[in-house]
Amino acid sequence: MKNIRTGLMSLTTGIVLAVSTYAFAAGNISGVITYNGEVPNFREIKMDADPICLSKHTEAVFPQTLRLGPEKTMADVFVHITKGLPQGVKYPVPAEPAVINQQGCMYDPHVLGVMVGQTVKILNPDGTLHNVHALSKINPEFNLAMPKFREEMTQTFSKAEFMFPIKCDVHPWMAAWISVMDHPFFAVTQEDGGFVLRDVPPGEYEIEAWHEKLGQQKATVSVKDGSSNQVNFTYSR
Amino acid sequence: MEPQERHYNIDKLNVLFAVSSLGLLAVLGWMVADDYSRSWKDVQKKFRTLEIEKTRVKFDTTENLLEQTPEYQELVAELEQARSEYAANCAPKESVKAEVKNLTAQNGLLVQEQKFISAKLDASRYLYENALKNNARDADSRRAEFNALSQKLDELDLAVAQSNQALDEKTKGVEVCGARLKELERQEHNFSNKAQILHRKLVNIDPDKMSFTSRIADMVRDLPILDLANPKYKINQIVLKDITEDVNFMTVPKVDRCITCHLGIDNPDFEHADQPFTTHPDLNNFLGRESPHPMEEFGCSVCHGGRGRGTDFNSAAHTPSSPEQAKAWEEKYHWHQLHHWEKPMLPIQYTEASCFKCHSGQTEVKKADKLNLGLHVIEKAGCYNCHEIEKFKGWPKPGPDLTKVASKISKNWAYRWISDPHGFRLDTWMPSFFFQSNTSDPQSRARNEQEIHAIAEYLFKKSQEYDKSAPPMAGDPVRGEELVASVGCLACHQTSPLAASQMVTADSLRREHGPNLTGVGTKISEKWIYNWLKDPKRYHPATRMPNLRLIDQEAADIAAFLGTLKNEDFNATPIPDVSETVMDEIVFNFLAKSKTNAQAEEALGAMNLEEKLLFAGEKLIRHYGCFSCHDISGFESDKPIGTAMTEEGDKSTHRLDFGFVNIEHMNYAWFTQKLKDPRIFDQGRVKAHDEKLRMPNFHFTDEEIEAVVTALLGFVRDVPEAKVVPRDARNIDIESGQKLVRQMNCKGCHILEGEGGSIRPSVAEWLIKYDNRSDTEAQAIVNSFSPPNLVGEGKKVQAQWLFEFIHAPETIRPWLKVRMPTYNFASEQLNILLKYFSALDGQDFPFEEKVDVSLTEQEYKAAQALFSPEYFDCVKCHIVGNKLPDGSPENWAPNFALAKRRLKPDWIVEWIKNPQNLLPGTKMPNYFDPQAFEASGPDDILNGDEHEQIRVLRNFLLTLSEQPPLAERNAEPQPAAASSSAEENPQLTPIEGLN
Repeated sequence: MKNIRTGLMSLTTGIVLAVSTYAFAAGNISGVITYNGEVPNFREIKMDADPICLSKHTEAVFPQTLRLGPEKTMADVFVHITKGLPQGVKYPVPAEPAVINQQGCMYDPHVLGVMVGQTVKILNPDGTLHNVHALSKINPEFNLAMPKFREEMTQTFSKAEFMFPIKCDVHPWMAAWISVMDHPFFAVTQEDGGFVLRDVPPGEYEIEAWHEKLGQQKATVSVKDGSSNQVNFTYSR
Repeated sequence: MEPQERHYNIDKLNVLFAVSSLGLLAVLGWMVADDYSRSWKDVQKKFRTLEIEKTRVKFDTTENLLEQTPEYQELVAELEQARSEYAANCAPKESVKAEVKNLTAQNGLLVQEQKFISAKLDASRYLYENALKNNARDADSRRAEFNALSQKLDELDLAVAQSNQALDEKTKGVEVCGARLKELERQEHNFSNKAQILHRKLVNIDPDKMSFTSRIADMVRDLPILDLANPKYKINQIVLKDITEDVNFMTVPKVDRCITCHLGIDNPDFEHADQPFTTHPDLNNFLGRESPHPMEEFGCSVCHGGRGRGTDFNSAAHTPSSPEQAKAWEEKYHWHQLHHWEKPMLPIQYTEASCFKCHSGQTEVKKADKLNLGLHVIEKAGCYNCHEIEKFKGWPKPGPDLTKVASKISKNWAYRWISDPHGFRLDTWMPSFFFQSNTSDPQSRARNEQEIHAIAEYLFKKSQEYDKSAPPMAGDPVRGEELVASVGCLACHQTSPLAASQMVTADSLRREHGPNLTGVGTKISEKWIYNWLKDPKRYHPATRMPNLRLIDQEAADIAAFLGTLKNEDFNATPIPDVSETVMDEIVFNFLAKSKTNAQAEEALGAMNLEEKLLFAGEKLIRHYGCFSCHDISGFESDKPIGTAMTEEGDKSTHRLDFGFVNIEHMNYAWFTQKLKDPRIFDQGRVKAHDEKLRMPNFHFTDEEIEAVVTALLGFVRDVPEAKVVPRDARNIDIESGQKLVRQMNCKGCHILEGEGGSIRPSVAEWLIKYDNRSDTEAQAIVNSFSPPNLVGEGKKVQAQWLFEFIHAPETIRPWLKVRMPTYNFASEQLNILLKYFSALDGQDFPFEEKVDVSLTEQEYKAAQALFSPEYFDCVKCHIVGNKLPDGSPENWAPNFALAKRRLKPDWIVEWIKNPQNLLPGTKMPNYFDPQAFEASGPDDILNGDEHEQIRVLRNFLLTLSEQPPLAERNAEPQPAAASSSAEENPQLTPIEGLN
């Protein structure tokens, strides 16, 4: 019976999604994030503390606090819908795990969005001791060691929680940000500054761009059948 | 007319008798009716209606819920089916039963016969054997007999076996048939249990659901006279055998009848019901059977006061919490004060006062925030210095030492400060003595001005020498500001005024344990600050300011920064001149107290102005009691000047002078008014200047006043002895520890008993301002940059080490900017702290468990491997002896060489197993996944046995050599005080202080 009910539930969700995706031909929200301001000089990260980290890099490494593309487009900006989505809708959790790599004692990606219940795979190909210290407030905080012999581990987050840092206490420069979302309408920009929120059902929305240092910006978007909406954000300091 | 035989008329008399007997009957009826009608019965009737209503609703929702639970519906369907199956297959139960009975009987007969034959066979065997030996003639017949019996027994054995089998099959069939039904019925019962309980309750109380006879009984049992047996409506009471009441020369057990009307008091369902049915708040702590204060053992009036035996609104001595409520009660209940009851109920806002009766030893009573705040305020304001209060016996004076005051401040500054302390610093605890409501007229003002001059003159004349050495180098205020923000000053001091709107809380009081340093640069010189920082006890031997072991440069920097905090407005306030005429008047008044006027005149004439000032100064300091809070030369043995307050809560209203002030005649109203304006009761009085009320004004906020009044109402003589927190060794150890922890403000930095760490917001600010962290990041990492949470400290560290550490702190966490200060505790105080930590964690102080930490060669190798970079890579963060990890100190972790001296072996095991469990948020990661412990250790070491891995690693850590930690530490100077005062050091013998 339970199986039937779960089945029914996922079927309903499926229908809801199918309906929202096809019957009403959902739209996309896309845009570009640019930086308008003086580019600060970042101090090079000194990895002397760990010779293994040092050996992984041939060039100087800088903090990922503000990564810009050639046209001053911004990477690592998290864009998501904050208001306007229907209440109580369960969105399917991607079967694909989200991946955080610890490569050369840096996190890749620096900003990550995952869905509630989605598997997060954490890799350590560095061959040195890292620890993954999630400073979450709503989800239980954890701090797991990843010594040399443990190259991979997985975690899941059971509650939605917007942006908490992940730190490595061994390598203090290492920091990444995770946001656990209860809907799939979010994106993280790359160096080209572009983002796309796909298959957003028609409606009025508030979307927000988040950057770890430069803060939040909001915009409202009205999505219609099959429309493609352009929202750009510009940060300055 | 026949003359009357009697001189009265029998007919008239008959009428009179008839009328009066009718009258008497009516009065009897009236009496019975009046006796029968009680206000509490109406309340109980109302409650019953409410209860029926609530139970019905609850029953309906439970049933609905059941109906909507598919699992239950399925079960019901299944049960139905099982029942019909049972009826069909197992129902010819009767015939089967009869059959079984039959079979059992037959079986019994067979078995009996079998036994008989078997016995006969034995006899026949004997006869046969005997015949063979002695009487060959009979042998043949005997054999035939034996063989026949033997054959018969074989047949019978077979028959019994068959019969047994048949019987088994039959009975089993019935049992199997019933088993499934039984199991389903059990499941159904589990589901519907709650509904059934509710249903049973309804059948008992709801007339609609009752049987006819029950309904009749329900009506009859409450009729007058019949209600003596077992009425529905009756007085409920709690009798407390171990708490007695003094009823004029006799002590009787306390009886509380409050639950006669407060019927929903322990039932969580009535949380939103109107009074008197409302549920008591927080049943987990009060009233609940599992709570520390079960209703059956504590009753009601022990905490709330009032007349427990009262069964109507007025006789219970209810007290309204506000004039509005009083008015509402007058209308609704014809409420009036019960004048002849000494202990009326406490107004609801002061209820926490009663917690103090039993918890007076504790510094903070859990859940009694208002009482705690009141006690804290009493402590900060130093009320106990003028008013003797048992709880605060032996507490330190809250004000600074004034015996060397001339080396610290200027006389002008002293004048301005005494005349208006709040003008300099809004949140100071120094109260205002002058220019108050009873001394505001021009004449009193003029006199107050001269009084202040005299006091200042005395303090400065009597001031002793204090050598101040100039800082050896110039200080940098910018560096100083950063040091103040980082080394830990902000755990006790603030450098900017707290917002006026901010409510006073335990946390804000901790953050201002020492004075707020706003404007301190206007008050004292950098040179003085420098000398103070280097060694506070040299200026003020009893100060609670600890030594932060600042090197000269640091002290100079901080002094330079504090010197920049100015309050120029205050220094600009004008100071009136000394007036000899007014001074003469003051001196004369004092002289005239012990001399005739002529003698006084003569003595006055013989003094010059300076002598007059000094003379008046001394008398005034005694008059106002300045010496109570400050050390002042010449007042070493003076006694407190105020009324004792240990039993202030018992003081009855008629012993309080309400004067001409129109307020409610209740002790709490008087206290409130007194704290708001201590001189108010002089209003309308004709008094000489030196007879006027002299309690100073602390400018308390309304919240503070309510809290202090709560505490005062708790200071009573009459406590329920049987309920007082037991005076056992553990509680006494904890309470003494809490007292010291409060006095030294340990919770300003550390979290203890789940509370404290008030410095954390300041650490976060430092991270943002000086360590270039974002807000979110600072919030996330603030814990690892703050002084440690001391939860479980007693389990964690060895007593001897803790003793030595508090005496002379060493660096454990090199990444912390904030420092553990040196307190120069005496060994008694150190032992108090040790016992406190041990008692909190249930440790057997001073005994420590001996743990076998030996390792076989193979185990040693395994541990070494685990320790190495190939596996856990412990030295990546941890210091070992004087070998430091790579990288910057902020990522380092405590020195393993300390482990042997510092940590308890059992704790290390728990720590390695799951550090986040012992100290949530710690930087130490989990090497073993708590979610999958058995699979999380490396498989190739000690056969992947996680417990063994942890054990050998622990034992290995305890072998790591002890080296002087960080011998070449640069920024950590040796405490100057510790080296210079080696002789004064307390003996390092924690055992010695035990008794």
